[in-house]
Amino acid sequence: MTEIDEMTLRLATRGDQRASKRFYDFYAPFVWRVIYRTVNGDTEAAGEVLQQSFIRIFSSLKKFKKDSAISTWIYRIAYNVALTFAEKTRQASARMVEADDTLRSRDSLDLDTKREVEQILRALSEEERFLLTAREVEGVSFEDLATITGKNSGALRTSLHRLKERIRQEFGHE
Amino acid sequence: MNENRFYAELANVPEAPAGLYDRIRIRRARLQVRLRALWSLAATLVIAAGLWVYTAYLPAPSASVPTEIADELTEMRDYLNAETLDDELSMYVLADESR
Repeated sequence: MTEIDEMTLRLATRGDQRASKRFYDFYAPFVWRVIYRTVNGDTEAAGEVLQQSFIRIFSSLKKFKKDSAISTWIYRIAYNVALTFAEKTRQASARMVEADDTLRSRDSLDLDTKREVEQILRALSEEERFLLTAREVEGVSFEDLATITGKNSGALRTSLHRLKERIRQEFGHE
Repeated sequence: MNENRFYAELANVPEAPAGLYDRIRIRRARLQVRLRALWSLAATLVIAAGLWVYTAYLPAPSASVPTEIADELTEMRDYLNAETLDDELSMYVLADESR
């Protein structure tokens, strides 16, 4: 993915408010998409994870060593925050999409389809949902996914292949 | 629903709620205030502990004085402790007794 310009990054690192807002506006949408799916459509949880992620990102911007793309570094933080959050609130995971007004209000999409998607995703772990969304929706490379998750890229390829096979079977049974 | 529809729907995510950035900014500011307060508290504690250790455990300054100086001081004390003004005058001043 494209990265933010060097000047904005430098200013945001120094704590400049405008640059920080630009930085957030640039990276938040893609982080949101992946987080939203990782917490399986729980808008409240996704909002909390996004906030925690960016608080951590802004606090550690000075420590960013540029040994990877900044988007990869941001994903890594969001991934860790999402997994920690999911671990803490596992019991509360039952309240998923049913209570999500945002989804209900969108007329253009079929609610049954959404529920079906949520149902399929619910059977997956947070890590699997992250992998699936980051790879299939955002097009994150396996090398970057390896950096983000701390796992071997080969193993991730295999995991995703199996995951997609499971999903395919899910539709095969219909 | 078919598999393609599933992946299309996977990408179909609502926008992030508005105002999240402001919440992040406020929470970050609060966090920084708390961190600074904690640092101040830690620094105060370190200084207080240092002072306490300094006053409680440091040995009292040695009172031993070299013999020559001690003798000198004793002599001076004896002069200064003269009991009457006459004594003092006789000790320190070459008084002109004819006046």
